[in-house]
Amino acid sequence: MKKIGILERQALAYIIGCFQKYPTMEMHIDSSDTWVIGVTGVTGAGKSTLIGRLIPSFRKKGMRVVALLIDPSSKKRGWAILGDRRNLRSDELDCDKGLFIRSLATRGEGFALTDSFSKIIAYSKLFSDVVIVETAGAGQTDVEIREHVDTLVQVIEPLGDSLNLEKAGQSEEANIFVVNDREDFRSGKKFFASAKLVLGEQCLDDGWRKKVYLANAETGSGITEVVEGLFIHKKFIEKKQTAKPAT
Amino acid sequence: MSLENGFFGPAEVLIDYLTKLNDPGKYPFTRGIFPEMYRNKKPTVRQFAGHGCARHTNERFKKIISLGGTGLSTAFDLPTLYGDDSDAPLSRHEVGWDGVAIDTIEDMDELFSGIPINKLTVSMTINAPAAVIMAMYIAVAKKRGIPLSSLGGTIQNDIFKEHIAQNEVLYLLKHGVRLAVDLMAMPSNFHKVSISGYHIREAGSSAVQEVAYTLADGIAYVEELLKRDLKVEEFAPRFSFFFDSHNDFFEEIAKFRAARRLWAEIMHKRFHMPIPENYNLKDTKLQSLWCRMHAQTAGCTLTRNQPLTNLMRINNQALAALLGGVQSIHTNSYDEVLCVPTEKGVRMAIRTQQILLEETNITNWVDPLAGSYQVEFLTEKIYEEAKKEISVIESFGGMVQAIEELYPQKKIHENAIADRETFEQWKNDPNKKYFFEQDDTANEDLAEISEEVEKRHGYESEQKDRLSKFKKQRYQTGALKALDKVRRAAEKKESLMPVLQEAVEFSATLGEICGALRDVWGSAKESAGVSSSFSHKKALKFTKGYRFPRPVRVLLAKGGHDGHTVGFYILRDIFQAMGAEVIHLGFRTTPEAVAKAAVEEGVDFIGLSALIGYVPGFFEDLKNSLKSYGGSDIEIIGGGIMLPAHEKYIKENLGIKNIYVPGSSDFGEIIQNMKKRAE
Repeated sequence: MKKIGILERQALAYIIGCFQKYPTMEMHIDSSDTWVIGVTGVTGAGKSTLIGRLIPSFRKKGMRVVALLIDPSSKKRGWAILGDRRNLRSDELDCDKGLFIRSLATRGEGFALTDSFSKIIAYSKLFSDVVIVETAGAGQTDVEIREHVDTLVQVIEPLGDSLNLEKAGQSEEANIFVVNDREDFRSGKKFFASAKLVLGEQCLDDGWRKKVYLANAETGSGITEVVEGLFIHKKFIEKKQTAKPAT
Repeated sequence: MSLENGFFGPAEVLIDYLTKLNDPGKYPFTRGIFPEMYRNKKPTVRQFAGHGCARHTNERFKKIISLGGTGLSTAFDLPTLYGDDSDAPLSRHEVGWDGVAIDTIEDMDELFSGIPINKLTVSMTINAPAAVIMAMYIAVAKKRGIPLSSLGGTIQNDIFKEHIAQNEVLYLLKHGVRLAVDLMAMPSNFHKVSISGYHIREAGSSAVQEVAYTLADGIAYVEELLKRDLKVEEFAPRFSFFFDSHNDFFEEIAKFRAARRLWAEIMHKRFHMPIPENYNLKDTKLQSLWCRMHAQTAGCTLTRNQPLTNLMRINNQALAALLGGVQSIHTNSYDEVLCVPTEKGVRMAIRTQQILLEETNITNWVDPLAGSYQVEFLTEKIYEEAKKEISVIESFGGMVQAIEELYPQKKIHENAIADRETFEQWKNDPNKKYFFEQDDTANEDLAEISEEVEKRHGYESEQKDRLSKFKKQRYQTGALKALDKVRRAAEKKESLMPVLQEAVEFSATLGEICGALRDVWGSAKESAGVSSSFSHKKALKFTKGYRFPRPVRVLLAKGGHDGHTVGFYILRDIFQAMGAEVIHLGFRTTPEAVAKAAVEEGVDFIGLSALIGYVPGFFEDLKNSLKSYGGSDIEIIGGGIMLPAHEKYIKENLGIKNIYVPGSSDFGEIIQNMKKRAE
């Protein structure tokens, strides 16, 4: 199993701190082809619980994982409660040396993604095989995060009428949708069926047909399929890239 | 004449004797559940004890019996309370430390070896894994030829208050409730639930909240049991309640009286238990109206600096409980704010009760304060306010829903932070200097206490050896099959009690059984936090509006199994008020997990609370882990119950300056230290 070494861990932690403190800091970073996955969805949709399920699947394939968890700061007093890391805790992940987790506060920048963000992702890529980025919200944030990630996942709570999905600000940008089938949502399966009809028909500009999955992040059911879907998208974009004429 | 003037007269306090008081033993039982109260039966002297391996506690039990204890009360160590075996990684530095370590049926057998469990009553303070522990107890009795019907005592088994206040939880609330109710529904003379306000109060609630949430928990248990097609009178007579006896003398007396009346009314009006015409004490419908009470003096009121002064506090609190008409009392040991009570501490605690019961003649009188304008005023006040708070819980749809919405948790936290603020002001008053003053006489006692505590270091290895030997010698296939059976039963609806008993008899360990249930049910989910705008305002008062000059990052975690959160949550509010970025790592962390997270998160501070166990051990491990992850420059703020020698060791040898110790430190100091560091 691949590891992130002690020095790499310290360096990554330190540099992320620097990028946040000094957003204008420049650093030459060799771009690497590490896969970047974005996970979005409204607060409470189950994003971090889902990530907590995805990480072990990547780790089992020997991939090193960096997870960046973004939460808003209080605009008035600057504080931030960063609680998502706790949702990624488990006996197997707590001390996993192939995993690096960083919680980021937006520090009053308005949108979830700050200037320093692309640099933080670029640097994280150097130490890992997959970078997972979690951001709250929908709409504007999704458009912003789209630029930084290869695969965008949106977690949806099966609330309300699925026909209103688009009105509810569901992403136009996402490649994969995960309907979180929690037990306290009674309508999970029904919602999933119609979400599949509404969203699953849509095609993105690059020709990717959107995928919709039903999964329960709490119990882990349906996660294997989500992971398969992620890898299908990975292959899809790799194929696209190799097909591109050299510039 | 009013609350402000400190006295009342007949104009303010209308005593409608028959509806609000009535004679002792008569509905609504404000004056006591029995007509003759202590004249007929003195309260049980029930001292909580447990440390080390089964054999150590067994010795202590025998000592308590020889000193005049009339019942036994078992304290389990944290790993046991959390359903973990002594060899689990999280159990390090906790085995046998604050209670007895019980992993197997063999441990349970040894715990009561030579003690006639069919003749005296045994109380067991355990909740989330209570059903498994009870299965062990029943299996041990069976081995000795004692039928279940001959066993008497109490097992706490109150899962609601764990979710509300103490956080020793294993599974999601609904699964935890199912396990607890499986035990409650088992027919026997045992009190299979002790509905507890104690921990709610110790977590910082007010007296009214203590009564309200405890009784609302009681209502929820009744409703769960009714779903099992039982009749109220089949289970309610075996309910018992457990309250704190705190410092505010008259308020406490009034609290016990108000709680009895309110419970009787709930059982009568809501659950249709009739008011009897002839009071026959054997009538189960009559018994269902009773709020039987155990009281314990308030641990959170004790001081560390002059342990002996605690004796007076404990005496006052025990006196309030007696005047309030409780059925049994646990008096704290004066040294328990330093460590798990020493033998001398336990002896003094028992003597305190004996002096009250045997020398003051108060047991000759039944509810002697009834009719006092002031006590009746306070009783009525608590009764009314608690009733109102219960209706708030009802508005959520009941206690289950209220807990899920974090309502009681938040209210308790708000009260705790407000109380803390008042207290820190109180102690700055020159007249209150005595409370914190250290005097020399304390040192002699400390030397004695320290000597006893040092012996505790050997418990962990002894118990781990015992456990590994037990596992080697057992019939492996039998144990595994029994565990499979537990898993299958957990998926179904039938009572788990028979399969749990089978599993312990087939030598499955506590940790294995709780693990098997976890395989099916998953783990508990920790609540997101209990801060509210009220607690935030209070925290701003604490910090006097100070704000860090830069984005300071803090990681907060609880080490080991401990779930005490009063200080932990207050600290979180304080950091938030100062504009910090708080990474909430949550409960039950190992030092390595904390160190790894702290380094990755690039924090300035780690706030680690490890309230119970060998506290310097946690911090030493954390220091070492930080070193190996390259985070030695991160400053640690620690908290825990520890001896002054251990505190000194942490400060001097480990270089951790900010140590918060309940009963002697304050947050003002910590805030000052953090300012220095951040600037």
